[in-house]
Amino acid sequence: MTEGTKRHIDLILDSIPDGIFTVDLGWKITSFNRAAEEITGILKEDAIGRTCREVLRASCCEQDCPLKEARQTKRAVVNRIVSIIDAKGEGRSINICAALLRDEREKVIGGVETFRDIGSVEDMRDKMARGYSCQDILSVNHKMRQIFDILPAIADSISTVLIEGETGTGKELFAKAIHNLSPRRAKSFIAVNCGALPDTLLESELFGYEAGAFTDAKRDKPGRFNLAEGGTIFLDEIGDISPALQVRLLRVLQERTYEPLGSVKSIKTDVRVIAATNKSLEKLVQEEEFRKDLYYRLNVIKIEIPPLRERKEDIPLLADHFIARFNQIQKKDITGITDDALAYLMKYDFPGNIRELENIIERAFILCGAGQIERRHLPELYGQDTPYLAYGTKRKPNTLKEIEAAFLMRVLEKNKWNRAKTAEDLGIHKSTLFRKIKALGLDVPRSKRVKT
Amino acid sequence: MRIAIPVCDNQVATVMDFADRLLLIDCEAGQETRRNIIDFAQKLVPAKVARLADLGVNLLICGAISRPFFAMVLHSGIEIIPFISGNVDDVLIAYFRGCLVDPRFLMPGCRVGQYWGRRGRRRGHGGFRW
Repeated sequence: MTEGTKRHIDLILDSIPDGIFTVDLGWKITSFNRAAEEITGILKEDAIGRTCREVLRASCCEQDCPLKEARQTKRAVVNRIVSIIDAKGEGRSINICAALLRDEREKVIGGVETFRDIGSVEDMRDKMARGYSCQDILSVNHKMRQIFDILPAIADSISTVLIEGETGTGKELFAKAIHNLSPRRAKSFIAVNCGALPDTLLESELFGYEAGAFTDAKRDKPGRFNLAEGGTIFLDEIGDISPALQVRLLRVLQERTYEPLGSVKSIKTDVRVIAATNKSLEKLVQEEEFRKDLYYRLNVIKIEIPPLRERKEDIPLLADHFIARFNQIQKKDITGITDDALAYLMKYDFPGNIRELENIIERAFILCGAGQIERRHLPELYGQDTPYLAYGTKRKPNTLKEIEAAFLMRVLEKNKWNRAKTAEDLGIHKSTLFRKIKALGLDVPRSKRVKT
Repeated sequence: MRIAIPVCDNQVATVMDFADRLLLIDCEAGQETRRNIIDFAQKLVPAKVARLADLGVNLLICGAISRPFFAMVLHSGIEIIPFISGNVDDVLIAYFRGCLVDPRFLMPGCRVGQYWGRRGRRRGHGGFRW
């Protein structure tokens, strides 16, 4: 390679915003671009000729080197997030990719690593400290952060917990977080979806059975309570269990004992129960579909998880989180989401909550090859009944008056046209609401009675 | 006196913060008397520093180290010589001879002038500050 060509290549490498270095077969650095200097804090002249681990100083260098992996697997390693310590002693997170360097005869002559600064570890710690995350749950919403604050205290207690939240809000994540923060974390966390099993099967699943309890019960089978001994059992969709099973569960919670099917002996149990439902158990109690005594046994500590539409400020954070996760799983390098696409998501109400957002990002990953997720990679989210269309039309509202009208109609519709409940929801006086309805010329149907 | 060196395959581990094995060397009158490798897989920096103090370490010779870790080690009364790389035996010989602050043992990006005899002030080495 002529000196001129080498200088030309160096110029190209220096103009790239990602850190890049190459190594020879002895792991000695042979080239080091300007971005690499900035990220590591080490000058090119100091880096050249030294081993890459001395220069990069990453958490992966000694046990999980991406270049070694690329050499062994003969495949590039992409998007590995690692920590480094720069020359100033600052901890930083970088996204690293590694590949082999080959000559014109395909012979391996070394390796190349590219890396991008994700941010300082301190920034991430700050985010954690500010309560943006708890275990695997991310949120900047004040209601969620209030829950994060009390979660360790809840975890420390032995009381039964009831988690209420719409489908897709992450009830199981909360249950796992409580378990992981609790003194029971070394023991099992057993999750049971009560709505997914027929009643008789659920009973044998929960409490187990003894040989001969029914046809084909040839051996004893431990139940989920037995498997969760000393740990936590998570009963999802608790509102769907039958009255008969409600009685058995009540006995477990009261007496801390149960009998497997076909057994006459009671078994003592030390299991913490966390129940969850996407229904209002209080309402089910009022409708006499759920036992009041069981409700009060379950409702010792209640956590209400707000739906995503009530914490839209979390959408950018969650979108970034899912992008990072899918980048790792799908070995892609999607760099983010455009403002336009994010604004489109922010307007949506997400009836499927976080699970729906996750699915939308996953779908966008299929359509988006590289770069940022754009509006065209997202599905059509709005039907004609969307609040962001002028009410009763298929077009977007054009004026502030139309937007206000659409919004009011949406809230009224949600409250089954009950003006008093709507005013309460909006935090305005009922007479103000009436005045607005009149001023906007809204044709509001008659109210169906809603308990306030 | 007890010296601790984070190690990986008989080399000084590249980063103290991520090291999971620690070589402990007891010495008297500039001579090594005993050495022992222990597991050092504590996850949190304060726990690592507390472990060093519990082990009675007087001097830590290590590779790169984060600023908070460095400060905690220093404030716990342990002398520290950071940003050292190379074979552990070579490093120890150089330390006993008082010539550890030699460019061949310094990690890239470190200058001899960066080292300050903050504590201990032994020959050829000393504390360090950013």
